[in-house]
Amino acid sequence: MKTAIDVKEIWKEYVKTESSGANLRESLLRIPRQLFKTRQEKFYALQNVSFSLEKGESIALVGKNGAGKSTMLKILARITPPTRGECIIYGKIASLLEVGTGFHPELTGRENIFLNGSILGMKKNDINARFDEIVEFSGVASFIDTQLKKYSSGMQMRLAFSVAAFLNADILLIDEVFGVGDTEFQQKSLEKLRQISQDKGKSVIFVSHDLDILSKLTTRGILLQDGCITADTDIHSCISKYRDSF
Amino acid sequence: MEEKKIIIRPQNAFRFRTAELLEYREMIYFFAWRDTKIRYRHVLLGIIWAIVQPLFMALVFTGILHTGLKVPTGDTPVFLYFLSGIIVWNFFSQSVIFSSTSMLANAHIIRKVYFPRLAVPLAAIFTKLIDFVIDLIFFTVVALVYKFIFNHNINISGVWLALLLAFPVLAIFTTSVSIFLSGLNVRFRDVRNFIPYFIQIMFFLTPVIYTTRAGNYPLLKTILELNPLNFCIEIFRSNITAETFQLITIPWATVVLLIFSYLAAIYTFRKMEDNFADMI
Repeated sequence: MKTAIDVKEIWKEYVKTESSGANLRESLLRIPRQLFKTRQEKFYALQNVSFSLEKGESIALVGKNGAGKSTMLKILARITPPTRGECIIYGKIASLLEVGTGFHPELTGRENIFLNGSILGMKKNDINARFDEIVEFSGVASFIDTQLKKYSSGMQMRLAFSVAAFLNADILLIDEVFGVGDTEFQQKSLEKLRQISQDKGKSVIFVSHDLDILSKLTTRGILLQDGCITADTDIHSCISKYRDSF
Repeated sequence: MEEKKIIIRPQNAFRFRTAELLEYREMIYFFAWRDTKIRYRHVLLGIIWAIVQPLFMALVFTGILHTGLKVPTGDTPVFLYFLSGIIVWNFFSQSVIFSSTSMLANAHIIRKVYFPRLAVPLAAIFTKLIDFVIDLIFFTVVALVYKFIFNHNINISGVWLALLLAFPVLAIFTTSVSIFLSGLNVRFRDVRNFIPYFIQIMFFLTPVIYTTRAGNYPLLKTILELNPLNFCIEIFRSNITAETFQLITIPWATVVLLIFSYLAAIYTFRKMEDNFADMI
């Protein structure tokens, strides 16, 4: 088995001051404090986190709010750098920390597919090739040349999910993007996610609080507690350990 | 198939990453396309709006300013004289204003997706580049009217050759200032309060409504030599009515300032880029 992601001793530190010096005056005021090394209150969102992911494997990150799940995804997605440690990613990575990133209400559904697709890292040709599939999956075909602001919120979410579902990447990071639309669409999207997670060429990391869905989609779970990994086992024992922690 | 390998480390050291930017060129195109489309979608006059503002400014300068303050424009029609300066100035000022707010306007995307952050201000400049080209076409049309209807001696090919030489200077300077301020605006939100003053001061340090030809002011000359916009406007204006092409040598001070501003802009932006998502 080849490795898809290798996470080595990642730490992420945030400074807990009320303001990080968002304006010039505060920044200047901070200089003397920094010179005399006044103790700044630090907060570790991740502490010495290491794991690796095989190609084709799907895992779930489980944990309470603030346990560091999203921070981990943000580091892997290269949105924020780690404070210490290193991650190596083999292959093309795409992150879905939210569906419909960059959707613009003034643009039509068609235009938003292209805009959103390119933001998620798709090439124009890829989008063209998958365009019909995306539209069909979303079920908004008859409104595709209507401005997005005239869509119902459910329709917007369905379109957003559909673009994301047809992303062409080796590794996918998916944060709480289930449960979009009506029951029928939820079933359909869950089925799509299951297909993606079982795809031998794709590696997926799921983050969700919906434990039932996670246990259906993945076989392995990593439990994060206060920024540390406390379990890295099969998904069912991971979930039961998580439930015990309450 | 060759596999991509990405290594994520703390605070990436300073590097240019030009290749990566090229890889994301489609995204830059889509950002610019979005902003242009949204701007003109509901507007009946559409693209005409790009012309209205410089047209009115040039009319006001010609009608009001010139009657009181005689600007020695030589053979060049006063209207064309002002219009040329305004078009160059507008590209610079509009780009700086629009790109410096672009990072915050796209904050929701920056927080959720990775891409080279330079794509955002660059796309903003491209949006303004479209207006710039429309303005130049408008200028050419007006110049042709002067040539064939009012029988002025106007050298269209000279104008475009001058523009070709001025453009790299204008583009590098505009991009540098835009990138510098857009990056800084993420780190220090009060930068946006400073931008209107900066634009105002720059306006007076740029020969849009005056000329450097008459009189001998050593201090003004030095200041203007440091302003790359001066070179762009001068070479543009000198060739509107010139019979033979007027090649203006670019002052050393301009070259030095261009290189310095470009390096400073790229350096500051790249230094801060990795942490934008945490700050924005």
